[in-house]
Amino acid sequence: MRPVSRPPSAVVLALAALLVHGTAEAQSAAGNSLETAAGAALGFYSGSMLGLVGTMMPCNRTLSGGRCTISGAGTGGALGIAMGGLIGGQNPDGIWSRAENAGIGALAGAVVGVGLRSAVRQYGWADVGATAALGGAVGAAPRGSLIGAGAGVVTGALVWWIFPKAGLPDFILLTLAGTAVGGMVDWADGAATAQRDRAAIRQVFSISVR
Amino acid sequence: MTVSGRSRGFMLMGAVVLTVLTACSMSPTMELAAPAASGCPARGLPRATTGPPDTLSLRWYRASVERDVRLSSSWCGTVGDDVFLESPSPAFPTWSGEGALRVATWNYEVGAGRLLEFIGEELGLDCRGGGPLRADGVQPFVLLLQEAWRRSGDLPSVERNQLVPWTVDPERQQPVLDVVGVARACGLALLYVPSARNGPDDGPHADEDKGNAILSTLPLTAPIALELPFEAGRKVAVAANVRAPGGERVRLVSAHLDVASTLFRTLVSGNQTRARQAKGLIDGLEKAERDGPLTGVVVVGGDFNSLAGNESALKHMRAAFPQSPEWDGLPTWLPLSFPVDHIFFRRSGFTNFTIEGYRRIEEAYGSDHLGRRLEISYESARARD
Repeated sequence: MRPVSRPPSAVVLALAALLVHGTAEAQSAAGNSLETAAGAALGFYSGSMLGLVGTMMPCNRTLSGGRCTISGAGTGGALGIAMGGLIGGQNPDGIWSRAENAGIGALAGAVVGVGLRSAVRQYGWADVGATAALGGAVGAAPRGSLIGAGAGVVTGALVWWIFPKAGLPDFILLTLAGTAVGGMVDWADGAATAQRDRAAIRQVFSISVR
Repeated sequence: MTVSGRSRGFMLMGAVVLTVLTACSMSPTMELAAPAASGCPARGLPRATTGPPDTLSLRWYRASVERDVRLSSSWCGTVGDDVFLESPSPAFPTWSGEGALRVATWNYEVGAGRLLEFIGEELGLDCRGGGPLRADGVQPFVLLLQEAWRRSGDLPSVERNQLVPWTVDPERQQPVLDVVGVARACGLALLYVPSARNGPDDGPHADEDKGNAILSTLPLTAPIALELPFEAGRKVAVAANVRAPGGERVRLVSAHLDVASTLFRTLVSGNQTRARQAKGLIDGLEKAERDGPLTGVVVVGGDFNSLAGNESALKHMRAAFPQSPEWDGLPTWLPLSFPVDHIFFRRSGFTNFTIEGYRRIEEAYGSDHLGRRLEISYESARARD
């Protein structure tokens, strides 16, 4: 197994390969099947939600809007399975930490949802569930999502300033897309780090045997 | 490995089931419905009972998804009956010869807009004085209104479990004339179908409902109400026909799509709120076309609540109405400069109808929307020969 030496942002370009490769890696981690499954499940959930959120505004500018967002969510979910499985198989602490963050995110989302429910007449408990689900997805990849959201806000503001006609919709689009990309990069970064750490552990172990 | 593989299998199965369920509840398909005693659409009605062409009774189309039917019915139970005044004052000139029909669309924000002033300044019919109608010289026009409002003492009381929207601008002093009053004062034909109440029973405008309307100097026939797929609120598009100089029917449609759905539906539909309603509108109009009478020329104007000019909903509308005038890139909703108001056009094989002068109306007349207008010019077969 070769450690991944590319920077995390480049890893996202190899996500499709990771989907296959990562599963095999996770399989080889004996005794970690529960964490692998948990990682894959959390990755699927977070990745599909981030994929959905990131693509729904751009897709709403196409004739195949619904199919387009399903593709976005599906791609995010597939990549999430691969990377979550990798992290779970190789760094169990890492995946439980992400699950904990997802719980905190879901709780925060639920609080926001309850506030919205009391403020918006048509909102019900399903909408509280939606905000909680979103919060959980972001919480599972917190650092990347927040950095991505920040980058999206800055980019959106710049685009709005340079092209006033872009307006608020493009600002929101770029913010959501930034959050989604940042979140996926966070997952990819976690997977790459898990692989690096495992490679380092194996090296140390082999030296001690000699 | 087996746990992991099984989990993935369950997840994939769950995703497939979720997708199928979501797809079922998101269908934009419409169906014909019979009006019930309350003025709301009832269950599906066989095509054979749809009455003759050019009927003067309101024909209903509604979304075919059970959830939409249930929620729309609940909302419909809070509004009053529709109003159809098919004949305008005989003083108005007919659409004759090589003349043009002026069509305007405007969201007048539940009474905030000065409707009489709009009709006077933009359509050339001054009925502000209250005196005898001076209709001579008025070019035939049809005005497609959204957020029209009606005051009525006959609105049903709202039960505790029925959802009604907030009162729009509760502090506002409403004008003396509602949309029915304006139609009568100006001698115009009117089709008004309420979508929702303007606030609850204990609100400041408890005796008001709101919806889409068509005002016309030409007689209206074949009135249709299309209860669009339900997202966050009930939306009913209205349609009626006028006759062109050669006897061809021209269908005019006033539509208003939702500004946003609930968060849950926004997520599960992938933000397809307005696209779904636009597809429902297109489907309903196609079914109305099949049910007769034959109406090849269709003009749809309305508030599409589109945040961008290239939104899915607008793309679907342009695809279904291929002769639509090109959008000028200008916004019409003033608070955030969104391009929400549009007019779409389809003439099928009737090439003697052409669109001219599509433009934004630059005065808001008190509304938060700028209107849009165009002219449909008509060339008779004789003139073309």
